[in-house]
Amino acid sequence: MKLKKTAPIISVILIIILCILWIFIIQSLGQDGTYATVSVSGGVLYTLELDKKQVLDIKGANNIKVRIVSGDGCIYVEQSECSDKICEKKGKISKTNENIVCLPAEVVIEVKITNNENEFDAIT
Amino acid sequence: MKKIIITTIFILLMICGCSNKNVDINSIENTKEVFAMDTYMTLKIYGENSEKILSRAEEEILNLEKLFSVTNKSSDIHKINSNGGQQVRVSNYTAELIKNANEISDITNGALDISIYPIVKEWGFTTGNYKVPDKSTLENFLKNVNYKNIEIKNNYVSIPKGYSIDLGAVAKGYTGDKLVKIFSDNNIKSAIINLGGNVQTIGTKPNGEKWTVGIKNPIDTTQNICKIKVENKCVITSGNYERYFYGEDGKRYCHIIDPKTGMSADNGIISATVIGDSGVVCDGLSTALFALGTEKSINFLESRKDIDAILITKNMEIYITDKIENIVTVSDGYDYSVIKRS
Repeated sequence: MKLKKTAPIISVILIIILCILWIFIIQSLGQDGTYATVSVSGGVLYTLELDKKQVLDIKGANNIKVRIVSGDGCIYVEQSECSDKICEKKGKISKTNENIVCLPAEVVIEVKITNNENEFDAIT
Repeated sequence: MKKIIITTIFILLMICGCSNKNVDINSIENTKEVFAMDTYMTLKIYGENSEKILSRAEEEILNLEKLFSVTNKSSDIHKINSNGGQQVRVSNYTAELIKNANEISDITNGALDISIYPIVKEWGFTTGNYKVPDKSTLENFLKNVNYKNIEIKNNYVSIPKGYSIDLGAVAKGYTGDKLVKIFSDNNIKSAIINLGGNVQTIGTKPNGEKWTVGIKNPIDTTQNICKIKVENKCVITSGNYERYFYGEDGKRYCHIIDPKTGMSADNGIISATVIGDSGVVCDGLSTALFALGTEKSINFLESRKDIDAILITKNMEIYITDKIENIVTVSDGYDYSVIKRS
């Protein structure tokens, strides 16, 4: 009987503890990014918003094709024609200042937090 | 105890469930970059099956490049140029584009002329071996420049001997129109393409906002001098910063040639942006307005309500046609004048 009454209270306390633990884990991992820049040979070519499902096919240095996919708050290299596949193996990234580098293609993907560069959809 | 665990799991599941987002198909973005026509192109479309549609678009670009190239020996243009005085059968695309270009030449009194190619070559803009040709050389070359002597009957094109044509001033705009058609035919409601500075849009952004297109500051191309909000429009600029060289006299010569003089166009305008529905028209007109210069361009725009443009002069004066004044924002520190049409 006593347990029945206290069950919801204990549940709430447990959730609070879990939430606090979760916040600590998130903070230790870094802040969630909101967008990522994709640069080829040093020049930023694209800005992708991480919450939007996007597939980007680019041709990097040495004509190496790289497919980058963003969405659900993260970004990753789905496929690369490079020889070492380190970029593919890196998997999904989502925290600010995390990056994926494909050296053979000279492609760098970097997660950032605010997006002030996205004012223009195109430049002529 | 069981109840505590069940309640906790239930509440946690509720919290996790709330964070799941549904993906709107029409907001799925797919981008493709294409290196063709001597430029870097990006095609960004939103919607279903976009990968297939983008591949189709890339095929179209490469196909048109093959037809319009001046250097590819199997291109329509190469065939025309190497068979002066004879009729050459060309594709529908090439015939249509030559007709389009000549119509723009007609309305601008020859400020655009696709037969200017031998002079562009003489200046070295096709090879990178730049030089300022002397007056007598240019006068000689000018004898073989006149778009009116290009004959088109159905799909047969002929140019006089000694003539050469190049569709570089209109090919990207035309290609943009073809891409827009492919996207529209495939039910794409939202897209933006940028063919080396030739911007063409379909609809609005998926969130309903208009596209924001920045226009480069011609004296500092790392900055934009103004921005324009558009939907279903082309925004195409010809600027003196695109391809140029410095002569021995220290003067800067840009790649747009004035067909009347054979000289690098230097008639007051350093950037001409044309905004409209047709890529080929905007592309050709931006070159023509650049060559016409400030006064003649303003007169032209005053007489043509159907054409909208932003002109920037050497003195950094900005002229905007009345119809687009409300969608253009000029950067701080710059003033502008409105070209009014009754």
